[in-house]
Amino acid sequence: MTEQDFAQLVREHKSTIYTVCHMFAADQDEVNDLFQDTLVNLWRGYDSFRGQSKLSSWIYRVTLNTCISADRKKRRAPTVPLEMDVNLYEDTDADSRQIQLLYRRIHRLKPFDRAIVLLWLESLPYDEIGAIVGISAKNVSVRLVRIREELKRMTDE
Amino acid sequence: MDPLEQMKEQLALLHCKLERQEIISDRLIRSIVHQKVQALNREALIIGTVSVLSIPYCTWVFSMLGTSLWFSLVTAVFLAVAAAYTWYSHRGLDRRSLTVSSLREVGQRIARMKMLYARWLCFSLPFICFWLAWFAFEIAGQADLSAERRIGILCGGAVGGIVGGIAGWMSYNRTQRLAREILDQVANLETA
Repeated sequence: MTEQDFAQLVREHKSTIYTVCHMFAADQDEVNDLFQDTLVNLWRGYDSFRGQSKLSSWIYRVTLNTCISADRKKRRAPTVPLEMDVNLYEDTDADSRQIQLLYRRIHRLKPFDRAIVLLWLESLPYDEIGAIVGISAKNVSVRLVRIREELKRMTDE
Repeated sequence: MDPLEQMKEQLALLHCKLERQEIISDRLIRSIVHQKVQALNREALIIGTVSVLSIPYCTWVFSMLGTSLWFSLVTAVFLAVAAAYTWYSHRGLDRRSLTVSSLREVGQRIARMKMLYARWLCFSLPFICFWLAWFAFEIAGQADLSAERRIGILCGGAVGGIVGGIAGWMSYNRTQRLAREILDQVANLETA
């Protein structure tokens, strides 16, 4: 894969990658760290991508793995410059308020449930979600029912 | 409204906002460039190490074969110059220098290395041809060796020369390709 191909791949999936990073991060600096680390991991791992799953599934898997294991890396990584000129934590327009509400809801879930709900929100089928997070499609469905109930409880609170 | 359905709409808003953003990732580009420079440095380390180790080995082999002192001396000097030139070509491309340099500076050093490698090829190719001819002349002039032994050594030398030449050519092309990729990458970042 050439750098141009990779840049194209990142351009096509930047929104997905950034969304996952945003939902796992506590602040803007951490989003940037996660985003950068994910891009580096995607670049390094591309050669090992055998095409057994869809490219988008592989990107999700790498992004989620990077975000879930970020606590360990977070202590070592230095701060980095902004990659996207957007601050989803501080913007105050109507859309941003909705996005902040989404963030607060997702952030209250456990990391594993966070991953499942993010993939479901991206309209991925259960079997693909299961393949990415490493559980069966049936298990995904059961967990989503529980997540839905938990989210309803949050709304009621 | 079902919270998950509401979240889906919120996510669509987020995607819409993010799609409008451009990504300029200096650290990513740096990481890619560093990996390639490390590959170049590994190649240089192998060339340098083989050149240095070949000096005593060749001196010993040529003394066993009874070649002239001048032949051994010129070979040893060539190998030493090759090792020193490789080190000189890669000056400023070590990990520590790369960490504190801008990508533009890294690009300039890569361009310099690429040019020095091309110059070395212009010198080394005719030199190796001359050296092989001299080697054949030295072996052919060994009256102590039987004709079969002389032919055996000459064939061995020819095979070694061809294999070495192919390996060297491949290494040269790989280095030039990596250098070109790094320069393209740095140029892309500068025009981004």
